[in-house]
Amino acid sequence: MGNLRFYCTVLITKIIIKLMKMLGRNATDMPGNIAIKLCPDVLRRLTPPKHIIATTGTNGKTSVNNIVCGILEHNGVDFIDNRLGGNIASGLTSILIAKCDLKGVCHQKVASFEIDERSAIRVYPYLKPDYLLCTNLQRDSMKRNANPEFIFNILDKYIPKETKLVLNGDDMLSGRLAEGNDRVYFRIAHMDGEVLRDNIVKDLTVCPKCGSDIDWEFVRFHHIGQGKCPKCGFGSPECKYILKSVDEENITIQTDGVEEKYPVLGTRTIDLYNMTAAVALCREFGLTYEQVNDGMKHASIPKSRYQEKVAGGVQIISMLAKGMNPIACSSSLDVVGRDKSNKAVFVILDDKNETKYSSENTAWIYDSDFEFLNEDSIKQILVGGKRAMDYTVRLLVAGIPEEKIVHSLSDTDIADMVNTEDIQKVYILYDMYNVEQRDKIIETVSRKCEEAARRESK
Amino acid sequence: MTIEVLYPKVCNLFGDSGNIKYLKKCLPDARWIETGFSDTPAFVSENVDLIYIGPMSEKIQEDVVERLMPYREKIRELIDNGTCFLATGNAVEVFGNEVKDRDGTGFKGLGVIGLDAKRDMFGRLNNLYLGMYEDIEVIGFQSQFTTSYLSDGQQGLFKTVFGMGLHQGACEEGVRKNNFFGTYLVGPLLVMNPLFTKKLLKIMGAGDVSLAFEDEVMQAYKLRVEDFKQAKRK
Repeated sequence: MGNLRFYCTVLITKIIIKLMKMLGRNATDMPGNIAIKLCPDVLRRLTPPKHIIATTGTNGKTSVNNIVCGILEHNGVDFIDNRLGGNIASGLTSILIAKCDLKGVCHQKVASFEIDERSAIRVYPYLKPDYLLCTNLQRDSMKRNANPEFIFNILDKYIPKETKLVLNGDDMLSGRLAEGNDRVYFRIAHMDGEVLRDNIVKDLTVCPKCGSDIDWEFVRFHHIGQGKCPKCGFGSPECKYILKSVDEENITIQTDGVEEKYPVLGTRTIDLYNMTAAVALCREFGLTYEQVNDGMKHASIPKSRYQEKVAGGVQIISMLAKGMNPIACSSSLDVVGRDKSNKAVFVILDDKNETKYSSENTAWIYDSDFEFLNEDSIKQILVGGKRAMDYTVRLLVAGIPEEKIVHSLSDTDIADMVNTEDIQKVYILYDMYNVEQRDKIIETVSRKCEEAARRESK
Repeated sequence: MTIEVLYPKVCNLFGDSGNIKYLKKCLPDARWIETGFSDTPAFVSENVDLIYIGPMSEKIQEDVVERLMPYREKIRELIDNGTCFLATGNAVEVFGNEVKDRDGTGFKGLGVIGLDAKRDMFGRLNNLYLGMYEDIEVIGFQSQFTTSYLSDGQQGLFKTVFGMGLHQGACEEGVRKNNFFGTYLVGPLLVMNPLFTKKLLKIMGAGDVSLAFEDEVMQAYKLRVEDFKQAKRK
């Protein structure tokens, strides 16, 4: 009976996926959800590819999985992946059913999955990665992820014993995961002239073993860096993969005393971590230096979160600053703060999804480093949307002069308030639910910049 | 005016550090003591006008109880004498009797206020809350694994208008004992509730001070109260 139910579920779900694809939809979570309802142990019964490599962690897992998939693709590896979305049990069920035969068997050799860290409890009992990379564990949505220790405990409990871990040696929090498992670490060496950030949020400040204050050699951002407990000796581990340097074209990673060059895919610190992580994972999986190096040349970091254009000589840059996730938001604020060009900055971070049903929880904005916007090069900060007054107060608390802040409760009017005089750039920091609003702002700002340029040329 | 922030490096979840950032703007001349996790609290040896502690992870809760246990009688004495305390999020539970998890684990608190908590690590509770403190409306966010119950004779802090209260259906939220204010509301409570902040500052002995960015904070508060009321109707 159980088998019949399983085979029927596979068949029905495959039909649903086909229909959804015909309608132009991605078919990520919904078919898997239906499959789980029809056959609650469907994920256990499916036969995944023989080898599973997986990436989890608070920030960077999508980018790392994209790079890894790019490398696998270029090297002709027969694999399946979830780059289109679906990193929880239902999404993974969808992708496995889409790719399996009618008996629920996947014949591909490899799966490369991004797996949501909170979903460990529902995924790892059935999908056991050969290699699991954890990018980092940091503060995320309080509503879903509570605190990093909570997520650590879930992963620590459910990571399969046989899985080899690839961990961030600059993150002493995730570095302690599943201590009995085989593991390697990667990290980025402290480089000359590197600008270090002192963030509001540091999710590890005292030794998790004995509670003493950590002695830090350096902190790159948040709690990411190298340190040691002076009392019990707990500290940053020895790393097998160390990013030693970066230039315009290459990163140099030292592995077992040998320095290897790989192409640069992005220059932000988070990009460097993601590239080093992807190299470490692919090498551990068994790809050679040449295979990874060639593959990296064809890999990319998703661009959907970053766009730029030039209008009337002004560079207009839009960047996703994920709401509810103070670390990801601070990372975008950091990029804006470090840019010394004269600029205006739009902050449109209302979570439209949450606003539909509730009043948005904006507590997280006090964990985000809006202080990074307190720079002379920022001439104007424009806050638009329902929560504009909350953001205005946050900016004032961050020490931003009142005269620089412009706010409007209207989603669209705010764009008209930009002053394009004497600025070289306009940054638009937006939430993932504000794409429509972002596009309207880009349109209006572009028009204003072009008009100003025309006036000037007359 | 002296304000002690207990263990800010580890008791700072959910944007609650916004409370301290904002108080620093409101009281620019105050003396601030940020007590390290291995340090002896300042309240043990000197007078302080406010002792603040924010939310923390579940393991840190137990560590904090262990660190404060030697000073339990001193804390009880300070509460009895009217020293002002503000504990937000699960910091309240540190001062309560006990936290009992549904899996049978848990820990004993300091036992200086009459509060018992039940914890379910698989049931995160996220809510909006609107309540009354005397004659003013107080708003905030709840994001927690516990529900709590007051002991006989223990007073709550806010009267629930809507939201969960200490547990589903509770007509009170938080706990008040003399000038000990404990609330499960997380985030920048003092920024979001300027009228409550004014009352708290007065109780602390700061007098009738103007709040930092008072006009903007009041505008944000009015908009948010209205938004909470609309959200309830959705």
